[in-house]
Amino acid sequence: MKKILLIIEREYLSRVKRKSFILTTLAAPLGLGVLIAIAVFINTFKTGTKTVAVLDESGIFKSGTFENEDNTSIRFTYPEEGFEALNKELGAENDKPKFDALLKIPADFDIQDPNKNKIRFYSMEPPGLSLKSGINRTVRDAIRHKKLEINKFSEEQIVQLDSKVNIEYTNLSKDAKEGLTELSSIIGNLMGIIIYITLMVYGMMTMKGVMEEKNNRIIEVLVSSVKPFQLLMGKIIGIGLVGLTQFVLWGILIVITQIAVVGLIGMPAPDAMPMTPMSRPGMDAGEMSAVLSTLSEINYLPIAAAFLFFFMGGFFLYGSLFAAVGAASSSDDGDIQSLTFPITIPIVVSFIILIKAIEDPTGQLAFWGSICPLSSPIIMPALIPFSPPLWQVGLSAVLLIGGFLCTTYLAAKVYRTGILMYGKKVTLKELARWIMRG
Amino acid sequence: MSNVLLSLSHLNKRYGNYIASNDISVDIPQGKIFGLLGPNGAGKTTLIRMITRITLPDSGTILFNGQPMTEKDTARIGYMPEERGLYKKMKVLEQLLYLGRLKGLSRHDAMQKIKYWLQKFEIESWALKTIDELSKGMSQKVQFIATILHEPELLILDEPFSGLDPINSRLIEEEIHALSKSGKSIIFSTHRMEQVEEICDTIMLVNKGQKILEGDVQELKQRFKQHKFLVRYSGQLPDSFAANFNVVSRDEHEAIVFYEGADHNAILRFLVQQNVSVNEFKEILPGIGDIFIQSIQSQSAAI
Repeated sequence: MKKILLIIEREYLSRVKRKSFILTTLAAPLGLGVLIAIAVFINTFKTGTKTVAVLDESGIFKSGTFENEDNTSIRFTYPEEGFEALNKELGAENDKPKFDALLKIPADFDIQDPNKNKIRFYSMEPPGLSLKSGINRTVRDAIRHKKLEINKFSEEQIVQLDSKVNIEYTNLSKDAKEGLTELSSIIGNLMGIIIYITLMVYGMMTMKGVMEEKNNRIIEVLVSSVKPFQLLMGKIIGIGLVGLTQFVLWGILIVITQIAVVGLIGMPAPDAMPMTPMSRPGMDAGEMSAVLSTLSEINYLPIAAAFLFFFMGGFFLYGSLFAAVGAASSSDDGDIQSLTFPITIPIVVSFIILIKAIEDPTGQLAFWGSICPLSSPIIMPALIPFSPPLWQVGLSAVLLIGGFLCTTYLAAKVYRTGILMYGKKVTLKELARWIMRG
Repeated sequence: MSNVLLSLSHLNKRYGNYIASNDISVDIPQGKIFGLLGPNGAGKTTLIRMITRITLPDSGTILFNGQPMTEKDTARIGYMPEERGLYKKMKVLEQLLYLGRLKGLSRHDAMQKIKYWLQKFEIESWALKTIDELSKGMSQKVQFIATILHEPELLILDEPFSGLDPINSRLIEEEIHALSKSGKSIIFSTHRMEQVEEICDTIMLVNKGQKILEGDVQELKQRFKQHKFLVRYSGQLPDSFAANFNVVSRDEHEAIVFYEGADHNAILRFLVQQNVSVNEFKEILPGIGDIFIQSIQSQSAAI
């Protein structure tokens, strides 16, 4: 036991003291912030405004009827010239054309049957998807508006017809909170993604650690002092603790920024929780503040606890497998890839299940995904914000513990044989033999 | 006969169809340097791994100080594998501290011993450098310190001189002798015969997983001697010499004589009587290398 502690200490300290650890610990929240900023930026990014000239030969529409209501990416002009002149101007090689496209409403346009004599759109470049849908929507709105006018609706009535609808979704179960679903999915997604990434990163780290020991042969000195199993456990626990440390530091960093932001601005800090990118354009201030207030209603403690537990469990499960691969592989890269492949597949599949599970957190897929030890480390923490039944969480936890005991047992067998085997390409078949024989 | 520290009996180890150790029995004496010789792939490493309990034998027993060996005894063994291994990114001091503590030293004891050895090898200034920054010879010294830090009763050195320059080789060699004198037992594994004669007290020859020979180095030389004597002289050798003795080969001022009789002074007496001025007269004893080759050849012939 004393030796395992020593090994844990070395594995832990040698990594925590590394510059790269300190950097990623500090930079990751920063990186997350940057990522959010980029997402927000892309979300609100305006494609350059297109000017569309409207030529209404039918005379049905008033000048100024066409306007783009929810974004300003299309501007409409109403030139005096006829079609020939406009068409010529559109085709002219001009540095700064007065307009980018021409929308022609034919003289025989019939508002009751708009598809008989079609409205035409002329442009030099093929129109993009957003431009097309913008034009479609605008034209449709204009026609609708005109039809209502013809049917003697007043301007007020028309505005009333367009009123926006907000539905309040209420969950009737006893501990439900309003506006929670959206936030829960955001938090759930985030949990799942972070565990997914860290399982991969820390799994690879474990594998590399084992390979380092194997390739520079320090392993022979080590196994003459300690049992391979102690070495394996020490390494996995040590690296797992590094991960835990990183999360705790991140948590502290987030809390500090939150406090700092609250202190500076005097309001609950929305940027402390990465929800900004999900706030769609068009989400109005009311919705925003509703989400903000539910933010403080969420009980973070069980989420954090579940996150840490399932990370550790998942890491023990996959970390031991990665260690086994590291032990079995030679320094050959192709070798590593063919051996890590079977391990990364369940992780990636879990990640795919995660997306579906969050859409339907009480569904079959979410349930089985949260129970199976291979996927539960990613799925279960993501479901916690949706308050799944306690027995489901318990079952998942117990199975996960069973799962990692199982994988460490298998991994130890591969590890024991693999670390002392040199210059031999190991196939999966051979690994199976090591497991059977040991 | 000195005390036996380690007693191996009937050790067998197979890897699939490959027999790495075939019924090997040997006693390793206390306070002596024991040479483990054999060509590459002879089973030396397997034997060492069984002694260090890295692998366990399929059958057979190992007694350490007369008791069946247990996990605890590994703390009394220091093993330096042929392929040197240290953590590249770890500082020399941290590394030695870690390895020493894994062998059961307390932090305090380990620190003191590290200090002592770093001073002795004049490498204190590297204590805070990482292995990465050291030359190959330097890291060899660190490796050697790591092996002997916990003052093991049994030291197993696998090719300890490979990759060392003559000065550092000498340093390590002196240290090995000093440790042996202080009562430590040393197993010295190598395939380089000339080192064996200089360093080892007893040896065991292995080939293809089998023990070929075992014994005291001087004894073995006697056992394998071919009764040849070298005579170096000035002037001329009388013709009658060849008539009286079996001259194997003859050069100018040098002859090799085969003489099986007990009294080889007869050769010398004859030469003195004939007024030959003898510069050198000695028995030609086989080198361990010759014994090695001869034994292995006779083994293959037997098969």
